[in-house]
Amino acid sequence: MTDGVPTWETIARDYGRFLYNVAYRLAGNDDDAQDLAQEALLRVRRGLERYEPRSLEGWLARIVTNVFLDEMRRRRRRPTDALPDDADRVLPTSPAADVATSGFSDEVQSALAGLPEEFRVAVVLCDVADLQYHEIAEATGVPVGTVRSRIHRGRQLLRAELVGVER
Amino acid sequence: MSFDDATLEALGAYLDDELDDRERAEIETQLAQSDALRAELRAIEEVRTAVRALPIREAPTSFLDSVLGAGAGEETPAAESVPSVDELAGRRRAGKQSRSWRAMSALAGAAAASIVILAALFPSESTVRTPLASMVRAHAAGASGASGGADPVSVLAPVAQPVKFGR
Repeated sequence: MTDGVPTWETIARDYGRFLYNVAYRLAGNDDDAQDLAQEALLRVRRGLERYEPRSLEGWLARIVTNVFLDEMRRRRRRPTDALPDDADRVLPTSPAADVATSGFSDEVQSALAGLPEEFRVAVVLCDVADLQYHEIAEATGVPVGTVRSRIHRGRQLLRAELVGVER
Repeated sequence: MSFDDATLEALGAYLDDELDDRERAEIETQLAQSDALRAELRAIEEVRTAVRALPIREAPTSFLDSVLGAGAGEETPAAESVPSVDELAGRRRAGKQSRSWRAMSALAGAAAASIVILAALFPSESTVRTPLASMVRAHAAGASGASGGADPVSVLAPVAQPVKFGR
């Protein structure tokens, strides 16, 4: 670490788990989460010399969010890419991972995955990455008021979906 | 009773501790006067808790290895030990190919585990949906290691108090 800036290896080792978890909650499956997290780490490496020590998690969340949004845009341009192209895209990675997300967590994850992207990003950055509204605004390039509105709308949609699960 | 979007957005921001002093005072006054608004607050809190209680999604053990290479886990922060972007991309492609094989074996394991777990959890054909609130509570308790904390919203009545969450 020099001048408060961690090395890339330190970030990968210490924050890889954080990046992967956020990527998983955005993407909704392990394979895409691995791709997103790896691409995010590549961008971290390229951008590390420009990093100004502040909230490292906020910076990392901003990068993985941008990777996610770039990927969604790419898939909209080439919709066939959204289809499963290998077995593990639609299969659990391991029995342990399957058990870890069983039950109500699956319902929550499913509802989360069903949210429009802008609401999903806002909710994930708030409730999974634990960022403050101003950090989410910085990460997504929208005003704080928009972040507040998106989190509210996202939670409303989740609530409607989860109440449906209850019935 | 229904509330306007601005009020509901403020409720979410209140839970996230994102209101300024004036807004917080206003919303607390309204909460103290309205059972319906407190019910809304509780509903938002349930959804928020459901997402926050999602388990940390662990990356496959091979994930960081594929990024960091064989040196992962060693204290080698020297810049020259950091793989190039091209090297990382190559490892990523190689990892993607091997994941398909891992997925096949994982499927067999997952199927076996699922049978055992389902047999234990659902001995009969009937399934009973529990109310959302109790599902969220069980979900949150599981995520927090069954620490059994009280529902933070319940302490609001009759006079609202700001809810602080670890941030």
